[in-house]
Amino acid sequence: MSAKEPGGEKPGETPPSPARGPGASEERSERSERAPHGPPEVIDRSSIGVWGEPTTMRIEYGKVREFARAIKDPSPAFTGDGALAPPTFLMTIAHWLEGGMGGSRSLKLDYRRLLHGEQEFEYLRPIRPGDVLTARGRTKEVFEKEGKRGGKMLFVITETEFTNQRGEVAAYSRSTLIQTEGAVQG
Amino acid sequence: MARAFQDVKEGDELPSVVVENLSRTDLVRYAGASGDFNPIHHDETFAHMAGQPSVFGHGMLTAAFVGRCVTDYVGPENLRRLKVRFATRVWPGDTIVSRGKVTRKYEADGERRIDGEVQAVNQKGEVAVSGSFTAALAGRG
Repeated sequence: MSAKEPGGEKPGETPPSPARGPGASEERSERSERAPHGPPEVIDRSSIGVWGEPTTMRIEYGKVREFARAIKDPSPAFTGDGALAPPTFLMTIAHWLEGGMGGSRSLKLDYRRLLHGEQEFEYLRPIRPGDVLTARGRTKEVFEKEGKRGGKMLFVITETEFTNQRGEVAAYSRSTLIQTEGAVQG
Repeated sequence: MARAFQDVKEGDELPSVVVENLSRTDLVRYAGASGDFNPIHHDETFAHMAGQPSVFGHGMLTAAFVGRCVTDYVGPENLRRLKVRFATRVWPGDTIVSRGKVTRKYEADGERRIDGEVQAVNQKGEVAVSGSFTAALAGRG
């Protein structure tokens, strides 16, 4: 475990989406050679609340089956006619959004110091294979907190909205990303 | 099977879901299924260079175990909200037990709903993920 985890918050996870894409692993592997400390990036607050470019994805049965197997969920609800997508399946779409969940790239966050602290899903309509979901993301909220062991922590809440082919909002995904003042190990 | 609203009481426990001896293959399978190819979760060399003793699990994989604990109880079509907070990391070889309980019964937006708490703990009893959920349950009969 990292010795520099923010006290009390203990987020144990690096953010899944922002490290995506070409160059992501190279950037991460340089982490130890770069200065881990430094002033937090300047936040461009004009981007808060602004929806990013949408991405449209068809929900595929094979992908749903593959995902259900990967999360070790044998429920018959995720197979056969009328199959549903498992509740955390929406993460598979978030990875296709420009800038990852919520398009947080516009905030110029430092992914070497970023943790995925919380994840929330709100479900308004069932999501099934055959559905065509259009996802768009925004940064919902940005605020700072003092870490329990000192050092400022920057909290960024991103929101992704999923609309189905009938124009109904099917779900929201909200991610709390935490940028620490020091480097995040791992 | 989804439960009927009348059959659920505040304080009821959700049956636990046990995932034993999580393997590196499990992590690779989740990486492929989810699209989360952060190398810290599948590349041992990368993990060592990052100062970790080994690769470790995707937080969203543990979140999915917690999700299964909830959907097994309420039925996936009835889930209205699921929130998780990531705490301790999950390592290959860990056994993860997801469990939860109903904390509140009420009516809202024309639905009969329950709220509950969930958590996933490792074999040492450390909490890997904690969270909460809301579900809408149909009546019986």
